[in-house]
Amino acid sequence: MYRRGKIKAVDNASFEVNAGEVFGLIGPNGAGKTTIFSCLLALNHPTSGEIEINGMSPFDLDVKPLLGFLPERPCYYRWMTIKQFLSYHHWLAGLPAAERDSAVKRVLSLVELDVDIKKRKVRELSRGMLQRLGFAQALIGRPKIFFLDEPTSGMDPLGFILIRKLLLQCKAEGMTIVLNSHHLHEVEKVCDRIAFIRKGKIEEVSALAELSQIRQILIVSWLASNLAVEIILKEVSSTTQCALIDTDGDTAKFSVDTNEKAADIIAALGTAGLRVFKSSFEKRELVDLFLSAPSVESGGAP
Amino acid sequence: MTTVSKINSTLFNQAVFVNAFCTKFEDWRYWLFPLLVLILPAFGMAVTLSMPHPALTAENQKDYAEFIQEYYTNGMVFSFVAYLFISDGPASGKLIAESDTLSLLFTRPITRFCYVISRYCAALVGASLVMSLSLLLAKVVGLCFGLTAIDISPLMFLSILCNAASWSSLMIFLHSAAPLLAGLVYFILYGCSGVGAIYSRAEQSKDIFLEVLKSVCLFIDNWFGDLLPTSVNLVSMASTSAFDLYEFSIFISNIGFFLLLAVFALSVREFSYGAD
Repeated sequence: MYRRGKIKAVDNASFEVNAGEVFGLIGPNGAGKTTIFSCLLALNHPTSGEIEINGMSPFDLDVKPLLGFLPERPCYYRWMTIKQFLSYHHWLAGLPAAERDSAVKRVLSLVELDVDIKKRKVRELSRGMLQRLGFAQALIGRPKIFFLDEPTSGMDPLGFILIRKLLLQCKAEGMTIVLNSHHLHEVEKVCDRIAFIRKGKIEEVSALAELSQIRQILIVSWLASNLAVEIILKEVSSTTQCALIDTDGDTAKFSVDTNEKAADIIAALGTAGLRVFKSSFEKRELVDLFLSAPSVESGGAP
Repeated sequence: MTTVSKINSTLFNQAVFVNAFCTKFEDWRYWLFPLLVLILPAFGMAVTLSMPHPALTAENQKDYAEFIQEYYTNGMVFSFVAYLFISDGPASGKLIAESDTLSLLFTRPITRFCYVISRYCAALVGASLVMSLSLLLAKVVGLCFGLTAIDISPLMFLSILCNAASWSSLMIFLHSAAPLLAGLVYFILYGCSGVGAIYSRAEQSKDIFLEVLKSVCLFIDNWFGDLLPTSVNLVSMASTSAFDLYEFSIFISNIGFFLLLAVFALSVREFSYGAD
């Protein structure tokens, strides 16, 4: 828990992140995502509870070389040149001076920041370029665990693609990634598991594969019929245990969580005498799921 | 090797030291303020001595020298130079910029104690260097005008080192604590060190409230007024018949006090890197 005065920014939040997975924290503004990050990075002292990273406290000096961090707001030394900035962080990370120049070149090529690094000052960079620089800074120590707060903030579409590519590359290299983002489409594309956080509480932690199953909607259409369609649909819904979402006489929408259930519905409709000629899935996006939660509908977090 | 790097990261960090001491000075614009401090006494003396003035006698040579010496025990000057080394604010175009940059810095393997010590050392060395060079420049300019009385004895340089140590400790505290808290503590201490002295000279008043206020101020002055860093002039201290060991020990303990306070303030300080 993290509490200051009457405000509980994080309350009873508990989750585990497995090695090598991409874990997303999603929630509305003020939900406590950044405070959780601050606690994980030992920038804030939790009021109660325990945090362990690789079996160590985040305040433990031995855990720091394992971490890479991209902040939401670029809080960099504005007066430094790009080279000075990255070299400084390489030095701070306690890495050998002999590798410094090559490490700087490596991370800059990764983030495709193609500028005169010896002359260009941090303060002269655009928002998107600063984000790339932040990414490079976070990668410079070859971290094992990567914390990213709004990684695509302020980036153009090309930047979006680049960040996604980099995240997938980091994931392929076995890096553990914890990210929070408002761009749910991006989260969907890279995360293995996500945690929904609202008003400082973790409401749900789900694997994205599970979510993609429960959020499928089966749409079936049949030829016009004189049968009592509504009764048939209710029976089918009851026998297959799939909720009937909507119907307009010759089309119906069912909520399904497996392909087998979809096949059962189609078969049951045929058995009941309806001649199904078309069926398809309508995929509900993560954003729909996020918005359909009661606490968001009623106004979200303060 | 591991032990060495561990000690390096817990006691003193070269990267922080080098960054505070010289990296930001690679921008020539950042040299303006230290240069101003460096040349001010020599420039002032050159302007004064180049004007028509009575012949330099032993007496007015002494006056000139004392006037110059005061510059090298002036707390404001030392604080300003120490601030230039400790803070990244001016380089970032802000008065205070650390809340932003420190949050990222402390995700690196460096303790807050180590940060304080490294920055303090940078300020100590930097302020001593600027002020020592300034003294040497003043001496050279003085000699050009026939002024020989400016003291450049080792004791004078030691005074500069002591004063840099003293005022840098205050500035590192102001840098480490949350800006509002730091300002408040500074002004309370500053007020405590002065108000008591003023009241001690006040005459007996018939107003009970004023008398109580006076007692409170004197109490604060007695107990907390000495906590503010002070300056020393070892040259004049050594020239007196008895070296005031008590005063010197208070001076030294103040340095330790503010360093401890700085470490404590930074250790409990929380950083928000997100939205303000």
